[in-house]
Amino acid sequence: MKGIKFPYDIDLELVKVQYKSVLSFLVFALLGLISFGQPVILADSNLKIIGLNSKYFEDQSSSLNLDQIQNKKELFSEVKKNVFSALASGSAYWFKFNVKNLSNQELWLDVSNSNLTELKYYKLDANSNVVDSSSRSCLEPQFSEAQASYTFKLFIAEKKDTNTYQYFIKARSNLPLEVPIFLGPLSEINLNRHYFEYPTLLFMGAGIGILVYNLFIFFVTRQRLYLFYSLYVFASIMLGTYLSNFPIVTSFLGPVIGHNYLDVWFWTTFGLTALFVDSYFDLKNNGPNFRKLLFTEVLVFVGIGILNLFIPVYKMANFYQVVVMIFYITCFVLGYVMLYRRNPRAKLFCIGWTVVMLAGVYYPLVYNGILPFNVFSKNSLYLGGFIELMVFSMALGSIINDLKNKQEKLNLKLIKNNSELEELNSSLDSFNYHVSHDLKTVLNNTKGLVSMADKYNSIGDNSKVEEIIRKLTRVVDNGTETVQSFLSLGTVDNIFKKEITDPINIEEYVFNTLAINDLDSEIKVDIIKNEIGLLPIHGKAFESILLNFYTNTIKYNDNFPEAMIGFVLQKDFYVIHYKDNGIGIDMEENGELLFEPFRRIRNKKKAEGSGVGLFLIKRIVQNYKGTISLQSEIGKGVLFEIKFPRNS
Amino acid sequence: MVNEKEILLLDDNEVANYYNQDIVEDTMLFNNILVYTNPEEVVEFVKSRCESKMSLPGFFIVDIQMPEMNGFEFIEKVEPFLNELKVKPKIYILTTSSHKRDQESFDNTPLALGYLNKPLTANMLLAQIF
Repeated sequence: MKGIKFPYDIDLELVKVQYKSVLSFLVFALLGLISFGQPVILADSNLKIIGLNSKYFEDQSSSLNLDQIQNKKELFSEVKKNVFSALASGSAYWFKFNVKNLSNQELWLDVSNSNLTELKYYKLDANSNVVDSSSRSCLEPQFSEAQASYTFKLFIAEKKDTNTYQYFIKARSNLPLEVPIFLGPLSEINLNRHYFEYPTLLFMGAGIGILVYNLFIFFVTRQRLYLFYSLYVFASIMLGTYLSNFPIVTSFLGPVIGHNYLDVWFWTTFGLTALFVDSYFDLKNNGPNFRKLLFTEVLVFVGIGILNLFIPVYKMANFYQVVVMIFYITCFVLGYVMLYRRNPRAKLFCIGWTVVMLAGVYYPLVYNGILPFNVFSKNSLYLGGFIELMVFSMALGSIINDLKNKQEKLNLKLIKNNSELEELNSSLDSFNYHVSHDLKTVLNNTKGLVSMADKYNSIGDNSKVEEIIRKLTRVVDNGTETVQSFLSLGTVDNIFKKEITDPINIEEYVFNTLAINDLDSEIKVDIIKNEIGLLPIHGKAFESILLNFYTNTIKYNDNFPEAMIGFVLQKDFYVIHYKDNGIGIDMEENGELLFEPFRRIRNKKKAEGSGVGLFLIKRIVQNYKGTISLQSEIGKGVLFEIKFPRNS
Repeated sequence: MVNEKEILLLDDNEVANYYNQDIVEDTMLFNNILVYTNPEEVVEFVKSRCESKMSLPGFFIVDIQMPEMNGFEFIEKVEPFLNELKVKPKIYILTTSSHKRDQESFDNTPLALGYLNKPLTANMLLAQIF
């Protein structure tokens, strides 16, 4: 024993950090991050994690016993890390360290890893005689100690015993191996345990809450997404607790299946994750290739599960980790691809999954001694998983919100459509009302006059008959005009449906419209200004405007009808002016009503009309996004101004 | 006070008035037929007759669709004057319309005693008056 330091008492002297006043988990976490790379002392100066002070030996045959190991002292090498870790293998790992208890307290030992399939402990005195030994295994959990335990928590030295002892620990695991060995009084050992276990419990509790909540939503909404999410949360809890000191799954699968045939159940975690992600993004429609990839990976997990029946877990565990990594990266990439494609559900998914990935990256760094082993690092996966569950819950909540918003939008649209329909219906009704009135009037008048003519004809009153026939002619003429103006409404609609044609020569149209309608002798039209020349408007539409102007001028006139037209080019507008010498309109009385359909105003000429003309012009103008206005006074004619925007 | 021998025709369409007048004349029931195309003028007419305590025509034949106001609006306007009379003129609606809305307006206008569909005939008139 000469020259060998006794790490327990030496380090107790060296490191005195009082953590008792800073018990909060988060403070621990921060300290863990700040003290990057430093040896970590947990909870109390009386507690020691002894990785740096121990040596290890890898027994690849895993069949050597204590005697054989003792003879291979020269093969032991330094652990060099606070917590020993190694990839999964069939090897047994032996650790040895010396302890001299000067603390005046009972000394306890804690190996905090619930996945050790074999754990042996030997205490040797100065003469290398075994004075105490114990054995433990996650395959045969024991509950006989002070606490139920899947792991090792042992009393190793008496209070007053200041002798130096040599200790050996043998450990095996199916998984990548992690052997944190703590020494200290029982109270400190327990306290330390709590720091490690409480965050796990928090995660489990929150997980179960979220699970129940989402199951409830599933039963209410019957949306599979919530069922899959519940199952995913369930699987996450099983996986999370399996890796901690609460392997729930082994309590109903049995420790042998739970630990030795791990992937018989492990793959369900990834399968359910895939199901959840699939229905979350509706991959069937939004990412069929990702869907194939995800479920192919799940098939790989299932395949590994089947292989696991024949091949021990430790031979596949390292490969398994790689597959898990690929699976998580697939989901990660999927999230960001969906974000890139502006999928509204992607944002929260990406946040959640990024947290998981960060934890997933952080943990191996701790495992390999690059980052310190402490409560924060030990629990980073749970913290990540916890945040992820929260974020996903928010995402699912926002789906409900989306549905609500969608519903509201639909309602608004429905109300709008409904009011549009009502408006259309009432305008159709009004149209019908007027058209049927005007047409019936023509027919009634004709019928009335004809029977009247018949009567006077029979009594031989020829002059009266002639008078009636004159009236009849007028009725028929007006009738024709009425029918034509109604028909022209339909024509204009047809014009609007057609594509825009080439610009027209407006000057030609002004005179052609006169000629076509035989109005040359009835009205004199002058173009007093033409700055426009070619106007991008449909010929028929323009003709319709002109014809309605002309007939109004002719109809409502005491003199020989005359009109002056000006085409003015403004910066943003084509402006058309039409001025006539007609009887004019009382603007105060009639004003803007003029452009409403079927609106006829009383005039001293008592000329008849359908009330369609100005309405028609207004519709054409509005169709070209233009405006129309008029100025008039009784006896002073009218001045119309039409403005078409130049850019349309 | 009303004059049973007097009738007033109100229609914005002159042709309609022309032959309605002829039909009314043929019934020989009236010695005075008043013809109007503008309801506003009739409102003024009723107003002045009432103010000067002169008798009103015993019968009004009123069109519905007219530019200034429709037949029911016209009746609303003359109603205050008619309400002061013990014996009211008999008002008939004469129209081409069979629209539900017009029927409803008619139902809500107690002063209008009959709803006649154009064209007017002597028989229709006699049936209403007796």
